[in-house]
Order: sequence, then C-alpha cells, then structure tokens
Amino acid sequence: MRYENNTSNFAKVAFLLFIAAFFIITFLILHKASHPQNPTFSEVAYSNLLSESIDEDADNGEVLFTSELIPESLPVAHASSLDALPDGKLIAFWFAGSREGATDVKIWQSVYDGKKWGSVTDVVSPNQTANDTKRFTKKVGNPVVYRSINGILHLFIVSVGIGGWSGSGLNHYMSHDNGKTWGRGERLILSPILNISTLARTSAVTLSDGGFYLPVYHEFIRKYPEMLRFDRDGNFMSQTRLNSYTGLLQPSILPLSNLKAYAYLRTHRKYDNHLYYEVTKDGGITWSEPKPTNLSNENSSIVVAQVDKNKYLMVHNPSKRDKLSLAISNDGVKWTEVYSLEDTIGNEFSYPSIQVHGDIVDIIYTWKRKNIKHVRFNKAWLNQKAGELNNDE
Amino acid sequence: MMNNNLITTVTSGLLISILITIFVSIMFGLRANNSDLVVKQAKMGFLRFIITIVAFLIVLFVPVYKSLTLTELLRGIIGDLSITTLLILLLVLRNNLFNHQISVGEFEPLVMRYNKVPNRAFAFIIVVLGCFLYSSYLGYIRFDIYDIGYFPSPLFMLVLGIIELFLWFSARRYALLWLIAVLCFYFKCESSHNLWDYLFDPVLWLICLIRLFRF
Repeated sequence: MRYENNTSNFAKVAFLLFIAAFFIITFLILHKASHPQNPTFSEVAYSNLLSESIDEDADNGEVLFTSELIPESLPVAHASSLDALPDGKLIAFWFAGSREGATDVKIWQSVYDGKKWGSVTDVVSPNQTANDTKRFTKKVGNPVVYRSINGILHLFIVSVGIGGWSGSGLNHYMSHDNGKTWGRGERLILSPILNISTLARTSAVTLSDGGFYLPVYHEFIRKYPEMLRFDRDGNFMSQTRLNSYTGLLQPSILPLSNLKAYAYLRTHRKYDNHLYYEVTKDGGITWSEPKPTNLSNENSSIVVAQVDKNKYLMVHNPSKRDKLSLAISNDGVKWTEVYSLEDTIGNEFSYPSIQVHGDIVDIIYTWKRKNIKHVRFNKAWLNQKAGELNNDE
Repeated sequence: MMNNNLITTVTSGLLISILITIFVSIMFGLRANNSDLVVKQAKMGFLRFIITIVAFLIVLFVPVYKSLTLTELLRGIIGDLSITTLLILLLVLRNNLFNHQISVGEFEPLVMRYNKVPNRAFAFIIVVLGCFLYSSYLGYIRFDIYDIGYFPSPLFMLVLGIIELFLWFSARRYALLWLIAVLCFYFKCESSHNLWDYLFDPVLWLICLIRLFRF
C-alpha cells in the first residue's frame, strides 16, 4: 500500500515536472523570438549637423543672443523641459504653483513660435493624474518632454502619493498633435518596492530603431542613475542602472557615436563636489565606473548637448545655484567655462534644459524660482565667446 | 489583451476586503474555532465570505476621496500587487468558504495560521529572494537583479529550479501559482514588464516574513 502511494506521488511529481519543463521551454522559445535587438544611438542623437537651422536670419554668420522670461504669474516655477516642434517652434513644460510640492502645483505648457512665447496653459494636475492612473496622487513635478522620430510628443511627469519626492512614481502622457491634446496618463511600473522612487529630469536620447532612452534616477534610501528604454510607439521596454554608487543622479546623456555615449551626473554628496561622468561603448547596455570631470557640481542638475562636430556644450551650476554657466569641450571630458548666463548671489538659477537645432541653441532654466527664462544664441555667438576666452588666456 | 489595471485593482480590492473581514470578524466575534461544531464553522465561514464579497464591491466601486475608491487610494501608496498575491488571496477566499479550518477571522495575520497559506517552504523562498532583490534594487548589491526580470531567460531557469523546490517540499500548489504567474507575465496581464513583479511583491514578502517567524 505504502509502495503504491509512493509510486503515485512519484508519478504526480514527474507529471508536474514535465508540465513545468514543457511550459518553461515553450516560453523561452517564444520569448527568444520576441527579444528586442541591442540598442544603438540614432545618428540624429549624435549628429545635429544633419538638422536644418530653425532661424534662417541667424544663418548668415551674424551673432545672435536673446533672452526673455516666459510670461507666467504663479509664485513658484521650476524644473522646465524643452523640445523642438516642426516649423521652428519650441514647446516647454514646467511645474508651477504656490510652492514646490504643494497640492495646487500643476504642469504648465507654452509654445514658442520663433518670435514669442504663447499663452501658458495647465496640462496635468494631481487630480488628473489620480484619475488617469487610478491611484491616489498628492502632488506632481519634474516634467520631461521628448518628441520622438515618428512625431509623438511624450511627456513624463513624476507624481507622489505619500511622502516626499523619493516616493515618486513616473507617469507617461502622449500627444499625437504636438501638445494640443493629450492622451490618458499611464503609470510606469519601474520598481519592485511599492513602485516608488523613479524620477525624471533630463531629456531623452533617440535610438536608431526609433525608440529612445529616458534618463531617470532613483532616490529612495540611495540615489543612483538609471535609463529607461522605450520602443518607437512609446511602449516601455526595460531599464538599465548606470551605477550603484549613492549620491549620483539626474544623468544627462551625450551620444558620441552609434554605440558610445557619455552620461554626466549631478553629485549629491557631502564631501565630494566633482561633476562625474561615465561611458558606454555598447549602446547603453553597460556603463563604466564614474570618473570625475574637471568641473565641480554641488547638487545641481546639468544638461549637455552636441553643438558641432567634436564640440559639446554643457549648462551647469559651477558652485551654488546662484551662478549658471556655459562650458564647452572638444572631447566631452575636459571642459572650459565660456560664459555665465546668470550670477547673482542669493538667487537661484537652475535646472536647465537645452535644444540644439542646426545653428541655433535654445536653453530654458529656472529663474529665481519665480519664472522660466529662455535664452537663444547661435554658434557664431558661442564661437565668439570661446574666442574671447582664448584671447584672454 | 485584457485591461492591465483590472487585475491589479482586483488584487488590491481583495486585500482590503479581506483585511476588513478580519477586522469585522474580530469586532463581532465571527470566529469558528476548531472545537466548534461543523455546522457552526460552516455558517461562520459563509458569513465571512459574504462580508468579504460585500466589502470587495464597496472598496472597488464606492468613491471615498476625490472620486477615488479605497482600492485606488491603496494603489497610490503600495503600488501594484503580484499575480501570486492575487492567487493566494483567492485561496484565502476559497478556504473561507469551503475549508472551515482555515480562517481569516482569527486575530492572526492575514494569511493564515498553522494550515499553510502560505506554505512555510514557499514563505522561506520568497523571503530569501526578496532579501536579494530588494537589497540589489536599493543599490546595496552592485548587480541589478531586478533588471534580469525584463529579459528573463536566466530568471526562468531560476523559476524552474524554485518550482522544483516547491515540489520537493510538497508545495505543489505554489508551484502551480508561479506557473500561472509566469503565464500572466507572457500575456502581460499586469502593467509591469518585469517578471519579478508577477512572482511576488513587498506585501507578500512581508506576509511571508511574518509567516516564517511567527508560526
């Protein structure tokens, strides 16, 4: 009798094992068939020389430099993000309200038609995010906009249900008409711990398959940088951690070729104020150890872009946030400060966002925490400033 | 493709409604002790089942704050629960109706007393895996274990090995749960694209931790 029971149990286990093995092997075959290709950076991302200038007046070698505040009346404005639209237009997003983290803070949007900024409209509020994602949402912040190759405008915003910014989740909105209307927001599932603490700040990088990398960072307990990969339709695919060291966050990605890119990192460390960078040589799958650049960074967001062949531009706070500067580099490692956009003690000029299109460079940033400021210049102006610096030396 | 939000909403709703049932059972003494008559046990079990279903419908459909239901409020705080948690909660529900020895009306933690929901071997494996996964995710382990869940070919081998462990420890039910979870991952039944999120979650990990050390 006992023997029969054992035989029966053995048969059951063997059957279950067979089912499990069959299931898993079938699954592996199916999964292998649908496995995505290794990523490579799009030529668009590392060679803006391909793009046409959006300001033809400035293409004649004349120096261009303009600056203006985006008109807006709320007490606090911060964390702006910029991207280019067709016909030379720009679109900007930022959060504004009574104070950072308040429940009345919304995400605001404005379009630049090449001459002036249009009316400011609210796009996303905590209530709307709550209704879209079917999750309690207390506050929203840090919008990041990106226009993909197929013309879809992606808007990523962080939202918090409980706690501070380190408890944030990331939400994804898409527009198929350049920001006139927006689809229903979707909460991205990015963390095994209560799906919290994935924040975005810097803009995405285009991949050759039409998808993109969105640089993000983790804040809960430890701060480290990550990248999210999306396909050309805006579907989230995977995430990659750039390093596990604490205190390095908000990566700004600078593609140099189809496989090589630098990531520059904000430093949030008590006894270290170097600006760090790391390198990938396989399209962002693996990254090197972080190394310090010759610039310093005291817990401030930075952005980097290519302005010419072997010429890179960084917007950063060299010390405190009361000074915002431009630095250029020929190799992406050694940087030279060429111009101070802002330098007023006691004020804050921070969180820059950059767009380079042909000959024109557009930068927007937080101005005194009250407004978003837009600065436009051309490469002739930048070359002039770099030349002045060389002459001084 | 089914609605990605549906399953996670149902899971959160079940969790809250079972917690409510426990609370109501404690408050009104709806307990069916082992010494009770079989008939009484059956009545109590059925009553708790009804309470759970009513609570489930309320937390799923009745707005309580800014047009959000209790389930949606919970999802804003604890995120999405795994398929395994959903299946275990369904087991709890089923046990409440048909197996009166297993009671959610006890002052024991949600899942369950001596009688194996979750199984101790299962709880042990979840706790160990969770320790590695969560440490890695927080950056204390340099290798990102969570990342494997996006391209889970190696993880399948691990899952297969663990399923065999479940069978070894006579926890066939949990082997089946994980097979269903893997199947749900393939059909993207939840919003997540990561296999780990289908296998377990922090709530289940906590339940397993309590199960492991409390009983």
